[in-house]
Amino acid sequence: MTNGLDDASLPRDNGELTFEAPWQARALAIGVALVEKLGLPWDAFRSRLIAEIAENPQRPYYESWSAALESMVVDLDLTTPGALDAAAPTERAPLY
Amino acid sequence: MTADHHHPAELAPIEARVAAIESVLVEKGVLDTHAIDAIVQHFEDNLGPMNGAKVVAKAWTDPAYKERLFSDGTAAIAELGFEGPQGELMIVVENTPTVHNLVVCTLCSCYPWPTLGLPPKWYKAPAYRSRAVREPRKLLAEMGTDIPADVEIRVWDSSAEARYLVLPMRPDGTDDMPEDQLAGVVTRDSMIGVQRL
Amino acid sequence: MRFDGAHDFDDIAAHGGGSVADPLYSVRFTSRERWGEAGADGEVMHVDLFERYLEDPQ
Repeated sequence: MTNGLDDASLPRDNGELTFEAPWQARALAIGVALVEKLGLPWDAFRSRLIAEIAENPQRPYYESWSAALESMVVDLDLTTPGALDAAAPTERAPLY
Repeated sequence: MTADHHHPAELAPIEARVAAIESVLVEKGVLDTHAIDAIVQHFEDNLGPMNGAKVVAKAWTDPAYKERLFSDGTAAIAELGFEGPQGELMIVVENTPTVHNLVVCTLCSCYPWPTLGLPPKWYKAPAYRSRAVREPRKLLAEMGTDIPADVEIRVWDSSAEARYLVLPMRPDGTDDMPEDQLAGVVTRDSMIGVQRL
Repeated sequence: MRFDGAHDFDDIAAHGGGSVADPLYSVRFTSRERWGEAGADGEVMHVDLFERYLEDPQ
């Protein structure tokens, strides 16, 4: 069973992958877009990222990033953890 | 590459969570999927150390540009079209025979995206983040870069708005190289400061 | 991130960034100042701080 991720299809930069997996790219872009859209200083997100990393120093970076994103959108009353649970897909959308 | 209909590809929890965040925000009208696609594309296509390399090559060949780089790094870098998130306050620090510069973000991963793209994994790792400020010379030696004891190592912790780009020393034997060829010798690691050219 | 009991900053250079109300500084200190005996000569750190994080050296 393939996981749908083909290493050759991921972008390379200086011989290294820019992102290890598409969800990381999404997480990054959502953070950037959200801060910009809401007119927030970068620090509004960054401070949460710092806190998540400090709390879980060994956790993979982008998981800390996503946790920071989640805490930010919940604190800004844009959603709730329950709504996120409900919105979580159970299968990967096809890559195109 | 696409999933078998009878056995849908399982999502890791983290993938599902990120997808949920995106879908909730899109549904609320806060974000637009195409805008997110565009940002991803921008990172993949436009951002990377080849940008910073151009800045360095120009600084090496154009003394007036180098001046501008130090007096207003953001503006000078923007002259080459490199600007945007994480490049709003650019400070260029020059390596000399007596000073070697090293850049770190001790608390997370701050990095000058427009000029260098996204940071490598090791830059974000706890070991680099703590050791760069604690024992830079030793750390650099372990990474294959020996800085002599009489050279001062200056470590820049990107803890607020400023993002740093190291201007490496121009290597010997490049005097006759045209600017675009020069850019080809500049590595990402030399612009972070973990490598000398 | 506070520098409690901060004193004798070797060098504080004001950056262009930050806001009028909260200017941004790059605070320089040597490895010896920061880490004492565990520090090394010839190693210097620059940390960027908004003014609100700097304590009045009294």
